[in-house]
Amino acid sequence: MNLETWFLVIYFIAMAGIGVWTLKIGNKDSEGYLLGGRSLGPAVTALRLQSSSMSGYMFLGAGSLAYTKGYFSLWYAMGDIGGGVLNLSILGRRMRKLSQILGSLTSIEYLEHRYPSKWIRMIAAPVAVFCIFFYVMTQFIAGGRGLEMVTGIPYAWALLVAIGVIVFYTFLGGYLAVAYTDFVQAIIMLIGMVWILIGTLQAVGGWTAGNNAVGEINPNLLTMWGPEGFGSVQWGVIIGAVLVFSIGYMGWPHVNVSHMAMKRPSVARTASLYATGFNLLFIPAPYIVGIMALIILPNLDNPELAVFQVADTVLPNFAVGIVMAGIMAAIMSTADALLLQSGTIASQDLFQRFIKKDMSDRQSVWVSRFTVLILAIIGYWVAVNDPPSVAEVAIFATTVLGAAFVPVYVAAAWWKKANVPGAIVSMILGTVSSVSWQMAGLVDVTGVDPMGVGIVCSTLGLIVVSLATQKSHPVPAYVIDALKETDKIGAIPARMLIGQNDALAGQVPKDA
Amino acid sequence: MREHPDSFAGGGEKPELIAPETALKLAPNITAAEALAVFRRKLPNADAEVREVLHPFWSTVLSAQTSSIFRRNRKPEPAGRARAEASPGQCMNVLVNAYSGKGYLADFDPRGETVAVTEWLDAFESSDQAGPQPGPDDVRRTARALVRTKVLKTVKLGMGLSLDEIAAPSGILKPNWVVTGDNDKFSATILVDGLDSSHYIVRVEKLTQD
Repeated sequence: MNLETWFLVIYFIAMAGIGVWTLKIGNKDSEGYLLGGRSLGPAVTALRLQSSSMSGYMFLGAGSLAYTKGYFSLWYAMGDIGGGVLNLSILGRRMRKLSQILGSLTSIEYLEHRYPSKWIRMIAAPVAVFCIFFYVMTQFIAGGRGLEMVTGIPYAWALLVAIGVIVFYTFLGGYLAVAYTDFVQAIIMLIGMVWILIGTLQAVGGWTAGNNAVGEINPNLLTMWGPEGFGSVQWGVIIGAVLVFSIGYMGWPHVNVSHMAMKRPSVARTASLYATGFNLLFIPAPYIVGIMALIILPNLDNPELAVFQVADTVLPNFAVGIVMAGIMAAIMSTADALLLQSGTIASQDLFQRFIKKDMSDRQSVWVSRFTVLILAIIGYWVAVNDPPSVAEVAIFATTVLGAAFVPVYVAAAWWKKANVPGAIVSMILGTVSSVSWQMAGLVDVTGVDPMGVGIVCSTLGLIVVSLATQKSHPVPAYVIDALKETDKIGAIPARMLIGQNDALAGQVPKDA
Repeated sequence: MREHPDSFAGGGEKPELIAPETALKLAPNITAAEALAVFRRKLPNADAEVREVLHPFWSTVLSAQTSSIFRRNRKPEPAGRARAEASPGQCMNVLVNAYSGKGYLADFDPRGETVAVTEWLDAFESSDQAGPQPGPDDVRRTARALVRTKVLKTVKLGMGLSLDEIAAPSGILKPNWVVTGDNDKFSATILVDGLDSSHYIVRVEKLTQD
């Protein structure tokens, strides 16, 4: 076994150790399993949010975009840098507070409580699980490819090992395990990525020399307008590229659940500072490495492997092991968050809501665990037989999630007139418009990104329908009260907490 | 306060009831009118009646002190200092349900009127809840497990932790409100927590068919 593989083995064992540790302390009830008992501080919240957002896309997709499109790819980076901070600033404090007032454990349940109708959950849950499944599959593929390259074992076995480790600790420890491993992984990712960047810039003789060399290949690669130059710029695609990750994050249920698990609503403010620091250090790096890969590895067969291959070329063996652990960290931290979120949606939002209402906490946790296992098996089967492009699937899944959920999440916390019909129309329009725009190939014809179309449709749908149905479907008074309380800074009065306190079941007198 | 479902490890045969040596009756923070308002939030326009009930708990106070991974051993405490003074860690009040043995971390200091232990025993008789009915040793064990879990959930990996008992287990009578009533569609009984106004639906029946 080579040195790089040893580093990965140690890393896997450490992550699994955290899973086992949190199993002992964290998942005795659903609130512990799903939200870590709402106990997370700013550093864990911010880095968990960022590491679960960044994903294997940053190491495969970002490098690939940069390798093929040069500095044009930085439009995506710009969205990425601002995305986490925007999400925490716009949704963080309010979503934490409102979710506690409404007694919501999952981000889909939160939507149903804010827009009280079973249709909200019936629409939101399948859309979320569908997109999350595709996104998690990209993480499996990225993990398998990375392991294959480092260890030299066949892709099918590498994929199996990567999925096995991810499922192992997601399965064991729930949100707390995911949150703590994500926190550790965010730090490893950062170290790994910055190390590759430094090694790459040294290998090309510095940034200026590297840019000069890229300019000799194609001067347009040095501009933000793409390889064909300014004349062929598709502004709609650029707007979509910025939108997809800047505001797209706000539509991701697996990312938004971080807000609900914060120790206090005020944690959001400090967390956004941590997130900004992390983003500024981390995000530009894979794009720059991808661009410089044009000089180091000019004849790369698969651009998605640009960052992996550059790391393997420019770094010493021991460093490659650490960096690969960082890459696996990015992949695994997203995959585990996605898997956990899927399990949560299946157990809480579908099974408990529509099939077995009196399900115990223990049964609920087991439904989550089986769902995670089933998704992993299906994901493995698809990823091993016909693996699709990581970047394309990741961007598509993000686009659909963003188009479907961004307006309803933002309006849930900020707009008191947003009501049930408005939310239903918004989610349906966002999903249908972005999927059909992509499937019909209208991106190439019109030059407009499906994210832009989806967001415009779902936002307009929400506003127009909510205003038109205010009289027939008014927002319930207790939701308005909860939103007014959310406007305020400070502790939530107990009278506002709407969810039933099951602990009182043990205090019922016999003559009640 | 938050329940910790697996906090009491007792089981097996039903043990003989051990009564506390002292008991404290907490005053409700929530008025009957507020309990009624909670009920009417669930059943709008309902006619309802409210009565106060008391539920027996055990109460104890623990101090939790954390130390960094490099300074695990605490300095020995000087003799003669009061226990509360000698424990600069965070104090946590733990209530343990006298029937189920389930522990709760209370976010308040239990204060109230001292009552005869017979009142605590009367309250105990007023319910037929099942459970292992913990004694003082079980209460201590439950409280330590609960505080340890709570602290370890939030502190860093590898942090050292020491727990000290600040107050021995004693009896607590916690006030709740039982609200029973109906509107034109439903009849229901709801138990409203006398301290924080959270609620539990004990019974609900539909009176009319849609």
